[in-house]
Amino acid sequence: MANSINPFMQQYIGEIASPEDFVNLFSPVLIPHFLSLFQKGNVVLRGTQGSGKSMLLNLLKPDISIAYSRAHATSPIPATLRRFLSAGINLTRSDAVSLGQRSTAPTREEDNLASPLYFADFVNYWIVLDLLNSVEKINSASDVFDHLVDAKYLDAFAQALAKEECWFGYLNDITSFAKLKEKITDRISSYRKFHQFNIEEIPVSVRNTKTAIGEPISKTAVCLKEQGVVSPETPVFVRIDQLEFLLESSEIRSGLGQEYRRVINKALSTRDPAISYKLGVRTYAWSNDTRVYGAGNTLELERDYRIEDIDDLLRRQENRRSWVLPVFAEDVFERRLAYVGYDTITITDRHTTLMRKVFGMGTAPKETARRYCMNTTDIRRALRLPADISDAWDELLQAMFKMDPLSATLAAAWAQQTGGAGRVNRFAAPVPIGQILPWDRTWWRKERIRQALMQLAARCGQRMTWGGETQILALSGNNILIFVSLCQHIWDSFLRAQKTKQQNEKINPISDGIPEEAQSIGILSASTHWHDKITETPGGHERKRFVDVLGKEFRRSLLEDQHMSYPGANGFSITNEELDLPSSERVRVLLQQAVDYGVLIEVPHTTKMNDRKPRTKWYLNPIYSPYFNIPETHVKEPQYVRVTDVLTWIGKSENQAMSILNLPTTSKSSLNKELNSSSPQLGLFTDWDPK
Amino acid sequence: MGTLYRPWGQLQWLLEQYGTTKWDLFGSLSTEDRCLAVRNTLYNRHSLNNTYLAQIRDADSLYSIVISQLIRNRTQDLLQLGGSIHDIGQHELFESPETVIAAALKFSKSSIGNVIIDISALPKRFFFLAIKTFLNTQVTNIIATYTIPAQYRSDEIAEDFQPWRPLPTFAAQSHDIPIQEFFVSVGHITMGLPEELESMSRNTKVKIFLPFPGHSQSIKRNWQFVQTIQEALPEGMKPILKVVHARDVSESFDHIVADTDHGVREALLAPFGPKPISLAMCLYACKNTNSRVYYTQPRIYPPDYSVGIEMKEGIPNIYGYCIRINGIDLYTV
Repeated sequence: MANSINPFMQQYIGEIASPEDFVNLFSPVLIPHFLSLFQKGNVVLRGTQGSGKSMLLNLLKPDISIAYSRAHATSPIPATLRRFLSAGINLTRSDAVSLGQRSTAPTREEDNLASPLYFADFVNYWIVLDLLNSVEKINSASDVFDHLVDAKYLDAFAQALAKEECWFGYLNDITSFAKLKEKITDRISSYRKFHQFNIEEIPVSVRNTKTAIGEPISKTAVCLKEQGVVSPETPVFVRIDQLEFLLESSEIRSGLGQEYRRVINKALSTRDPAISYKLGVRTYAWSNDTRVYGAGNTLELERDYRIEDIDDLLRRQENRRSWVLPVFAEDVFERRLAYVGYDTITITDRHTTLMRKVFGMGTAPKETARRYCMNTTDIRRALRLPADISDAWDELLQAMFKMDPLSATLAAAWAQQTGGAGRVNRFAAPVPIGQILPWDRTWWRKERIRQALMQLAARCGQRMTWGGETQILALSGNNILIFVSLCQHIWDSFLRAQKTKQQNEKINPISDGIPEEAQSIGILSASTHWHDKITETPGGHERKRFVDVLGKEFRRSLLEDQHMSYPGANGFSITNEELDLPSSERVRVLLQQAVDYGVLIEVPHTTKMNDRKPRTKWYLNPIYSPYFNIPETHVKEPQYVRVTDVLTWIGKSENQAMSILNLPTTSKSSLNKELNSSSPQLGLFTDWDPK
Repeated sequence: MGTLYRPWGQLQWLLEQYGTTKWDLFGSLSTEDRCLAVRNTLYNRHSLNNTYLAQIRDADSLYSIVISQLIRNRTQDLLQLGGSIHDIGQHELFESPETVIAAALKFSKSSIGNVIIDISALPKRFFFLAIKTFLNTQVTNIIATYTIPAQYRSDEIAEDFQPWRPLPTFAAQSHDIPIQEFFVSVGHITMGLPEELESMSRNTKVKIFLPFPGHSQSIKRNWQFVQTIQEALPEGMKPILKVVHARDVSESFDHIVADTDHGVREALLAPFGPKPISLAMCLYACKNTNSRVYYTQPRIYPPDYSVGIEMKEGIPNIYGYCIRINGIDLYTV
């Protein structure tokens, strides 16, 4: 049965996947690296979109622990860290961000002051309710949690909690746990009714009892311990997700989102020993504002919170052995196959990974080059040989091409390099001789193989081909969701090819491996899919236009560089000094958001320039490489550019968008005049006006 | 359901049924040619009383200058056809819902009780709220109108989608009620919807409203939309495809009512398709509190979102839908 199923059909197991799916598909490989999530202390879990933040934070939910137990599976959380309580809020799904959409006070000034207070109150009540729900769930599955909760004290707890001053009397009439939940639910409901315009105003009972951020949550945790519902050493964790929405949402009134963000910061700043906050947030979205609401100070790293970065962990380091992604991906790969019925235990031998059995090592570059040139008869064109080439060189390269087109391409590129200022064209010099030819030197060759393959494919009218375990991992760009998506598209392509085959011709993907042709088709399909997906996120169209210009620019640079002097031209680098200038804000924000959404990959750059100024370099996420037909590897030096170069790329991307506008000619003509008068740089409609 | 006749059809025909009745128009002033079609039709018939045209400003973008110029041109068109600058109200796309409600309330109070709301170029954030507001007032007659454009933009018709969020005042009444029925109307672009579907509960029934006959330019895009949805749903979830008339509000409304067991089953509505189907979703959600309407609201609409007005027998192809006649609401759950 498994042979007709795509094990990677369901990509997403994040925020609201069913607990059962979670148990089957979650990989515990990352857990040892993020144990701080299950220990006391505030943690900010950073990562690009889709990096798995929600998946890790989900482990704190009691439903997940229950699902592991019901499936007779061992929880991935170490046994010594499993006794905790947790609650959480997703700021968008809870609709907390709706607060402030309707005025709560007669004037804007008063409303601006009141809205953050209501936001804090809503967040408090939401989290306390979630904590109470967790207590109930844990109690109802006390075998799973080893009797973590003692339910006989719940009513006493409710009565004691209601007396706390933090509620300002709102819970005075509470006599039982059930009543406590009911009253808190009522309060949340009041907020919803108000913002749905179902009631005229927020009830007086709510208005006069607004709570301070974090305080009710803390009191609830303390009270649960004091009243014996849980033991005094039980840690209480609070998850907060979608924090970035507060600063990015167009729904929240200008300036108010920032205040809301600072309210959350304030909760962390109290360093309350009773509560540990665990936040999932995109990389730059966190550093955008760490100021504390109502105070002049900012949050202090290591004192108020610590940062865990998923991207940092999965990013490949110099030493491949310490690279976590291959182990993580292999585990995910095996789980997916096992889930749909493949016997992954007996079919995996000790000499290789399952992934390598299925995807193979990939075709050797020499063979790839041969395939690109299979039907090529015009060798001089394929090698872009100049007219003034000496006969000796011409004969050598033509002969080499027939045997080994990759080496011939590299040799032709080497010969066109001048070898430094003032040197002559090597085509005019004698053909080199020796045991190791210059174009065969290990590093020179290694850095240029992918560029050579790209140039050969282009000159021979072929698309680049893709496949093999190593390349699939490289294309994943440290993102497990992209890895799963690549597998899904490859498997789809494989299954489609299988459908047309006779039973005796069908291939077992595990024992025979997936043919490279199916892999290449699937990888291109995945790449196109991810390219299309860029527009699905806020600000995505601007990013996609920028990426399209970059992709074309990189391809052009790498193709035109026939000497192969700049094989690293699929990335660019800017000095940090220039990027930090106020005038660079537009470029800085665009690049930061592109990194946050996983469109670009950002790496510190050790410069080779004499000025030694610190620099940062950016590459397109490797998943876009097949779409743009450019190498996914990052070698040698990227392009050294200025902020103005990036602005030029942005300008190009905007011009392209404007050029496809479909407006009546008369409108275009008058608009062009206006545009030219208001912004002399932009001649956006020039192409449309035949005059 | 089915007990009330809900008149709809060509606006000219519909207006003829009302004889010499005058109408107050709540519409929009936008870059789209079709935004003034209803206003001009009423004006030429001498049926126009008050006019309120919301001029809604998108987020700043590379199109802003072009949009400003087109709006100025459109304003001139309005003035040349007897309109006034006072007919125009300035709005922001993401402004507080209370501002939209206030504008709709003020309009209804000054009206003679016969309101036409032209949804042709009004974003959902606006017309959902405006219709909800009108339904909560005592106006006697309400008609919604929709003008078919000559053509839509061939590239993407909207940009910079916001996360999946409820339309203002169309959120769930309670946060923890599971969704039983999920209705999505098929449009040109899925705008971040697939990401939401990937995480949808398997207990939810997904119903896809496929408009037919749609605009000829829409057919390929619509099927791509369906394919994207099917691919995004968790494994094993099979959506139910419902082919609905692209212009028949009543048909889509009845589908929703029937599938939710007259509003008993909790529904989530995703209006990504043609405006008349969005209108059906709006009317259902206005009348049923066991429902919520979610959308990935774009922040930017290119100035060539639609161009021109489709003509039918020499007159603009405008549809009208009676929503309330003589104080009786025709769309009830």
